[in-house]
Amino acid sequence: MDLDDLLRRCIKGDALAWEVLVRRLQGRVYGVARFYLHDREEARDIAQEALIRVYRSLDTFKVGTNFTAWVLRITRNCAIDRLRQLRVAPRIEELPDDDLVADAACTLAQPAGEVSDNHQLLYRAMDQLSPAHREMILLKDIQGLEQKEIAQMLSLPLGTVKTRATRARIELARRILDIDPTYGALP
Amino acid sequence: MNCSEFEALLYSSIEESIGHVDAVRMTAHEASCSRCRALATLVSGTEASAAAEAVEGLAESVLTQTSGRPCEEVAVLLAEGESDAGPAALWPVHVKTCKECRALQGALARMLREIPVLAELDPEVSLVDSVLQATARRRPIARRRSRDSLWLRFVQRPRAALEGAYVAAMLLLLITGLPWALSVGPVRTLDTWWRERAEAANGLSASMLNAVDGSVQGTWRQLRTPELKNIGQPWNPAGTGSVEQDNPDRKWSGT
Repeated sequence: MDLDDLLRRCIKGDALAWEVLVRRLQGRVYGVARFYLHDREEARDIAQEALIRVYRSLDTFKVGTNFTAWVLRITRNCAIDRLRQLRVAPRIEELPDDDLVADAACTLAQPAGEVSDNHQLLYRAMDQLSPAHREMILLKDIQGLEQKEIAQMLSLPLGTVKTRATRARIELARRILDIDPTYGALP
Repeated sequence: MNCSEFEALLYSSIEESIGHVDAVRMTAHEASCSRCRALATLVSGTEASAAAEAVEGLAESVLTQTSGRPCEEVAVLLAEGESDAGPAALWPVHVKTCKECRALQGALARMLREIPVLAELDPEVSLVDSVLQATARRRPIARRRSRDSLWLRFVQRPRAALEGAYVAAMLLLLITGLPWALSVGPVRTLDTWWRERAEAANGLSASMLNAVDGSVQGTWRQLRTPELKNIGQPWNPAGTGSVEQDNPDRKWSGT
């Protein structure tokens, strides 16, 4: 079913449509939560909280705008709120000291066993990126958000997002080549 | 024609046309001299053939000493997805000869193909049950939205502000009353109601209030009348003015 139709039914209070939507969203929401939080259980809690917050705010969503971007923004906000709480009362050993948002993704949660070995290379390379570049890769190339949406989400000028997204791609490609020089080798 | 004469005519022929006689003489010399024939081939050859025979590394050497290698510019174009640019694009010339950029191009292409797969992760334990349980007891969104939108529709009408102002003005009028209509209509009623409330609160009777009221008004009239009568009268400094006659309590203090 088309996402817009699904959303309209959810807004009307259709529980069945909401279940379908939750099933459709859970992987991406969990993926983003896992990006920010090291702990698997924490990530699950954040994903759940984000989905509940989505449900409660569904009546404020404008049908026709990018729903995925909206959901991911809510997820990111939940994750950052959680990180802020953890910062006050740290439960994860290696919590960062500097900028919260940037450092939130300072060590990429490598979901060992959650993905195939082919993707381990990408995770290893991403782990070597700067936090700002890693977040840009997550939002633009992994989650496929528009630059305008990312600018809005991160409160950055559009020009900065464009530059940062390009630089992040180049940096990631070079890190991958450092690990595996034959990656994507052209004939 | 000797070789130096041939060379001079050869370079002239590139810049401008030469005469028929000179052309015939050049052809004759070219046929008899292998050195001049080779020179003529090089000078009049096409750009492609000249590039093919270029010395390896010459371009790189020149670029290093002039503008530098444009690898960073090409990397930006490749990362921005400009690799699909039309025939006017210049980057393929560089990528063809630059090993690093060719590797980067391949890596970027594969990376952008593979990386979107990372968008979804399996939470292992499904989130659906816990989310549905947490959201089940809430009243339907549609009902909330219809109630909210009804109020919003009412408030956002173009005349809502005007109507609000009208109602507010009416209320203000009812409470404070019109200064020139104290004895008529709802204002009178409010006045009466207020008096009753005041009496009940202070334990004063209506007659007491009226008496106080009358006394104050009488005193005021007594004080004001002489002065009012004097208006328009000539001033009498002898002190026999009408002030003493009308009000013996007050003494005229003129000189």
